[in-house]
Amino acid sequence: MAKAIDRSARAPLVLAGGALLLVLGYLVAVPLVMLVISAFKPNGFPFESGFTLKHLVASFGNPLLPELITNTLLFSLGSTALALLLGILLAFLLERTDLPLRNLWRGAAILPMAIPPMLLAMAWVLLLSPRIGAINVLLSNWFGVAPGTFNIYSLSGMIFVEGMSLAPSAYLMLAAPVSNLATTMEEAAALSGAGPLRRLRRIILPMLLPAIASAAIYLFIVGLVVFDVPGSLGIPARIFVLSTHIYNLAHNPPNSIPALGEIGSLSFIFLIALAALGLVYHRMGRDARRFVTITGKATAPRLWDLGIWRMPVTVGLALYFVLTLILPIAILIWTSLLPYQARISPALVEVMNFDNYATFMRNSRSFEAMKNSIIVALVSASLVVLLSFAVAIYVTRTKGPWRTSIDLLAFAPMAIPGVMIGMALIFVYLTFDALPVYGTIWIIVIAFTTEYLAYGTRSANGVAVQVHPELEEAGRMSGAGAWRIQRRILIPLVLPAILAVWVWVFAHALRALSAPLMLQGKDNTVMVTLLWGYWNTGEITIAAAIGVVLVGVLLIATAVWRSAASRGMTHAH
Amino acid sequence: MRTERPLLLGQDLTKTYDGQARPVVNGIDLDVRQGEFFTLLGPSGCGKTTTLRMIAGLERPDHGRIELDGQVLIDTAAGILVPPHKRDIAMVFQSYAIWPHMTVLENVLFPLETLRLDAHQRDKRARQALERVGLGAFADRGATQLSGGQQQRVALARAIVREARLLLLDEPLSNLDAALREQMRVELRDLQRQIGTTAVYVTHDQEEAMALSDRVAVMNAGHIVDIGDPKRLFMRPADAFVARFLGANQEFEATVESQTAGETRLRTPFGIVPAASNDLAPGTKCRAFLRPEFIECHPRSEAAGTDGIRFEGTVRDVLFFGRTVAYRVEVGDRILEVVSTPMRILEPGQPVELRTLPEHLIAFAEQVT
Repeated sequence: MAKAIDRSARAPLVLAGGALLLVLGYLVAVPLVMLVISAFKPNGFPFESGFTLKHLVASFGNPLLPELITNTLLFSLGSTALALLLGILLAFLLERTDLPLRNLWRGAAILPMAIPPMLLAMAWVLLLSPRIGAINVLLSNWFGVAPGTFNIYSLSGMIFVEGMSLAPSAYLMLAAPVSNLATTMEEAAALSGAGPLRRLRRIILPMLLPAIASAAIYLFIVGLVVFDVPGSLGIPARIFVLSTHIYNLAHNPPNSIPALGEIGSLSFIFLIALAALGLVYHRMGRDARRFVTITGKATAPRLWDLGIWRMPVTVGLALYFVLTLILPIAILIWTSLLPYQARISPALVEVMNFDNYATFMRNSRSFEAMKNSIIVALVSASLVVLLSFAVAIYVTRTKGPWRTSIDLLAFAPMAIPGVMIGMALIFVYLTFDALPVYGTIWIIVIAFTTEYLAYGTRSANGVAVQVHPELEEAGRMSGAGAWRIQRRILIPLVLPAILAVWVWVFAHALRALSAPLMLQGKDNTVMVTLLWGYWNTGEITIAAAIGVVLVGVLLIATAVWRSAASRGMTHAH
Repeated sequence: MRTERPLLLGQDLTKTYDGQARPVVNGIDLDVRQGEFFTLLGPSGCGKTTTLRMIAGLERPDHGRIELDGQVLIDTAAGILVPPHKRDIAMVFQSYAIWPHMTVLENVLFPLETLRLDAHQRDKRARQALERVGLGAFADRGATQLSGGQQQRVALARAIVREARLLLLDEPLSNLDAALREQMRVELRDLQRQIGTTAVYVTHDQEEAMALSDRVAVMNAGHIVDIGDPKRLFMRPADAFVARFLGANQEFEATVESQTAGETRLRTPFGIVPAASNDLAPGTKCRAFLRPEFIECHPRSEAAGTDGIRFEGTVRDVLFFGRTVAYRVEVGDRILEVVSTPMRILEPGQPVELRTLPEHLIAFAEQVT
């Protein structure tokens, strides 16, 4: 019954904390350290002897470095600005106005997330590439616009596509703060004589500033680390950003030996900048709510009357969905039905068939890839859920040791480009052959688990914080021990959130390109790497068919995620 | 079953939260008797909830000792700590803490899970507890479909179902509206009497404390400053803080004039008058308290007798509240407030005689700050 004070509560906590620290250290810290060490080794292998600064000197002295930095910053800033603008507009229109069919629009707002950025980029190539782009062709056919007026293979094209692909995330981060903004604040301003614009400028925007700033930093970091869009659009145009440059150094190096040392030193330079940004974001996100999706609030705030703007706004919104959802999916379906890639014309309807799907289905490699994708997604999602909720419960609901370190370690991967994680894992598993995962799907699982840990723990923290401590204390006062409280009270309460994180990671593990591409071996082809392969060898129509299948699966996953996430919020108060 | 046997004993309980310089609970001693309704009363931040949570085991004291029914729950010196779920103490939380993913019945069944009972007995006891709080018909409702008052009852049923040795209540009525709060107050009292449990109750509402408790401990800044039955606390508070906290809202400066044969006389702005006896030396500067409701107000034409304390004055203001009437009466160059019934209402300008009894005029030595 009675136990000695210090051992009673402390020992299991120290054990749990130590285990978490060990697992996270292995997943996050070890690869990063290897990557950094490789920057200082003559041939860029972390365990060779010797020490050199030549890679660092070479990186700084590289005449292309300023251009690389400029491109990366412009791309990231541009797509952040576009996504933020779209996100704010969406948040206000969908949460605070009397828009017709508001609930339908709100449901649709996150559907664009179902299109992987890589596929969005490919769809826009099919629409806006100078020679074959459907829009370019139609504009020149109908209006005599010079062919190739719009060129998606450009920095602005990359920003356009990335901005659109990030807009739903921006909306999700801002929707809750916008709809939670107390109506009374606005009403008080109105009764003080402030008109709508003045209220927006003096009351609403200043109150939203913290949420907007934190969303902006999140988007900016994502823009700095993403590979998919710069990889699809930038590489053909030879416009390199950080992630694509590193990919190139590994896969198409100038003298055909992977430039490991240079990768290490570049990673080192950028990681310092990213770590600083990541810390700022971590500080701002202490409450972690912004990651949590919209709540199922029962009482809607008072809505703004759009008045004569109803029609123009509706048209604008429809146009947004046409550009981010309908047009990309339509062109992918169109292309997937063509026997051969051709400039768009009505005559093609005659020759359309399902051969591409048949080819895809018949190919034993595609079956393998599909199976691999699903295993990778299932296992990664489960591991992320397990780890994130363990971290969240430990960090927010115990007084165990090393809580800050564990929290920071779990958060760090958010600021590490997927290509760097991939590269680092190559170092790790080429060196340690105790775990023979190199070239298998399991190394991709490890990469995804690391990469999505940040999202998982942020979400889990947000939910864990919202479960009132008295709910747990009531369990203790009812005679329940620690394990029974976890099992009967805490876990059931966060179950919808667990499901939401699981599906989110599942969907992202299906669609993310950078890690599988970096870690590609002969036995671990997944859907996206298969697609990438077809695309880059000019088999555009088959790539489109795979894309359509992938989008179909992701649309379902996204819808499940949305409903799980919104249900998760009604329980925890 | 109220007895004089101490059930709960707390000794020298002290707790300082991380990052705070002052202890929130500073060396308090407690004894709660079997079957007693005991209340910790005080302003927010006085340490009352922390004290309750230390009894529950949800907060660990820096040092001190708690004993329940002869069993040591915590003794920092001896290194003994019984975790909350092994204490056999039940608690009602301020937020009710009803588990939203369970039905009403499941909430009430939960505390029985760790008892050795078969399913039938469990079900019977849980339903009995729900009957007791008047929620028998709500057993299968989702817990979140209930109103605030009903959730409160579920929390209560969940706390009594185990028949724990001690029932703790942390401001359980503070989230209810006024009418419901008064009703629940009565029900809570009746329930505690019926099941004969010992209850420790935390509140900042003095009326609630008075209505419910056998004994009240008034806390301030981590200390128990007064402890006793409600009537004594109200009539003879231990110090000026307790007097003010219990709503003595009319105070003035005074000096001890004389102490002869157990009778204390004070020099007040209204003259030299007999007062409740105290042991202050003549000449001591004091704060004197005289509750407006302890003063009677009569038209001067009806002056009768000479016992007690009498002041002559003139009504300046009449504030009509319905159930009560308040007068502001000019006495010399000062104003005295009087609260009276509306049986007869006096007019402004009317000359009156104010009467009270010496025991209602209480004085405490001025704190030298």
